[in-house]
Amino acid sequence: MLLQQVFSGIATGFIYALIGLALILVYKATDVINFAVGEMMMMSSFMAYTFLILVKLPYYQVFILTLLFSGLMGVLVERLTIRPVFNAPVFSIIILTFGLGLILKGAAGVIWTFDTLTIQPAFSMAPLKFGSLVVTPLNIGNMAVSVILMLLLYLFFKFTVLGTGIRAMAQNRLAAILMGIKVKRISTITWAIASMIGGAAGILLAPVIFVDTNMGVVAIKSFVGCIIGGFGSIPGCILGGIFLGMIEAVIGYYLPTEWKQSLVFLVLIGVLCVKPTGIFGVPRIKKI
Amino acid sequence: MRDVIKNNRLWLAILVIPLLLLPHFSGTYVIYLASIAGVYTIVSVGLNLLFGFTGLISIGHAAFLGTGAYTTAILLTRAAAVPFPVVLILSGLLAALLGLIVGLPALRLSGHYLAMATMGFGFVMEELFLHWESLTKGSLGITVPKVSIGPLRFATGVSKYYLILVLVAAMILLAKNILNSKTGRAFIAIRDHEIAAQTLGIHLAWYKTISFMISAFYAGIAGSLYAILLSYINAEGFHLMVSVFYLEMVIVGGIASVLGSILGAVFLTLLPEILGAKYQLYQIILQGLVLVLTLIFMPWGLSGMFWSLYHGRKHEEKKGLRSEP
Repeated sequence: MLLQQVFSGIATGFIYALIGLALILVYKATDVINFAVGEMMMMSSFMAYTFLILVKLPYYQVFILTLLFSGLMGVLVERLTIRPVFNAPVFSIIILTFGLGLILKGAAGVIWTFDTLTIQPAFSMAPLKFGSLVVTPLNIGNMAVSVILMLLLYLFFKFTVLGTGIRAMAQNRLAAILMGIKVKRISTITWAIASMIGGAAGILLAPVIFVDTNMGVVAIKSFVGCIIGGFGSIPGCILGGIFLGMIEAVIGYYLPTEWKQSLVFLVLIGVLCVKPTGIFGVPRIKKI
Repeated sequence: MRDVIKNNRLWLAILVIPLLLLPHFSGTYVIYLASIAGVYTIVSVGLNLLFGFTGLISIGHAAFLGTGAYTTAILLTRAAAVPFPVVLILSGLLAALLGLIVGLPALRLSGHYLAMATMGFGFVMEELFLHWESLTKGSLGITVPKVSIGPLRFATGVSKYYLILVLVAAMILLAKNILNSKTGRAFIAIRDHEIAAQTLGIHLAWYKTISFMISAFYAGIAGSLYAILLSYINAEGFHLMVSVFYLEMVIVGGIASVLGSILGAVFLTLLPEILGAKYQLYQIILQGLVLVLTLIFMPWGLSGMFWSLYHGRKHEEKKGLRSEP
């Protein structure tokens, strides 16, 4: 039974990791923490719902169209709200993203509905048995898509000029500017990519937790995952997300369900007390 | 003429007299709105001490408000012998104690981590309010009995309004005094340059914790009044978005300005009223839009705008404000 919980926890954890990735990318390249990441994901889920149920397109087209929509949304969000406050204090931008989340949530409610919508998954949910372990193709599919996306991202960052530019920005913004990297353009592109990753997570998550204006709350768990792994570290955010999904499933199984939510934050507070930099994080050294 | 314009006491009188007379020429709903704006003012002044003046963030302030509200509700229903002023003070102190417990580990963290930690704390408390049913009755909620101080009974909306008005005045005065004291100046020094402040002998951990506790105390008092005003509380009133709403009051009103906190609280209380019941769906969009637009176009909020109009200079030129974090 423990094995079963570990497995389904890891499957959920991969989605936390994807959302976490969307968060960390933006954070690394532009130093902004996007608290609206969940709401942007929610918009993508609603869009996927529209394409899939209302327009009745096949799943692969839905995937592509939704990702395009997400990318466009990322560009718009960056241009309209983040760019004007590029040099504002960190807390201002954090709070601004909360405002952005409110706008998106309200907009989704007005455009679509404040009710919960269901959407059928891309992969079958029929259980397959491996010994005592019950596995659904949905779990496997979600994990596979997540891994493929992560690999693509890795290749993008490692081998393309644009990816190298983003990495340079993350390492040392001033040096990157001096080397002729266009900071503002990189910022827009990073937001677009991050929004697309969030969009992919939204499509994968939509059948699991249903499409709802409040579904963005799930992103909070990715934040926690990122902190466990070390905020600002990409491997950390992936492993942290998976780890969080796992302990949530395992401990949630032994505890009453209503405490499952608190558990996530107790883990967070524990990590922050013991090792605020997480597993892979490097302490931020302040120069005087 | 200039002396008349610059006379702060005159302005105070112009502001206070209509507030005192308000119940004579307005209905119950306006009185209720004014009272809730008063409660929000207390939260927002307290939060501004933390956010605007000390430069620390709390995205879990609704939890402190909830602590105050539940302390009041539980004490009043289970220990009716305790006089109301004691209950009120206890609500504030308990919230402050909680602030100490959260603050001790959280304040070692900076920036993003503090935001996350306080947010996590907010979530834990939200769950606690909902699921500690033997104490809080969860989503069923608690009906708060009427309170009285000696011969004064606070049963009607008007009497509650005066109670809140007096406390708002007291809390604003307290904030003004704190800011003019050694402690307040230490807060501002920490906000402006942590390392420089430390070099000058300001004990960072001590003052940060004090700031956090004061802010929590304000929220606790506000929570107590909130429970009295609504006569009913349940676990749904203290979630994350409420905390964000409080931060929004501080920002829209004006960071690092006591007057701003008042303006922000009043403005955001009245904002949904402009839309009316017909457009309630758009309320959340409007709230987000106001926050985003304020941050982009007037980062010093309403009070900053008034300051510029009054002095004919840009707010950035005001003394003692940081230009860069």
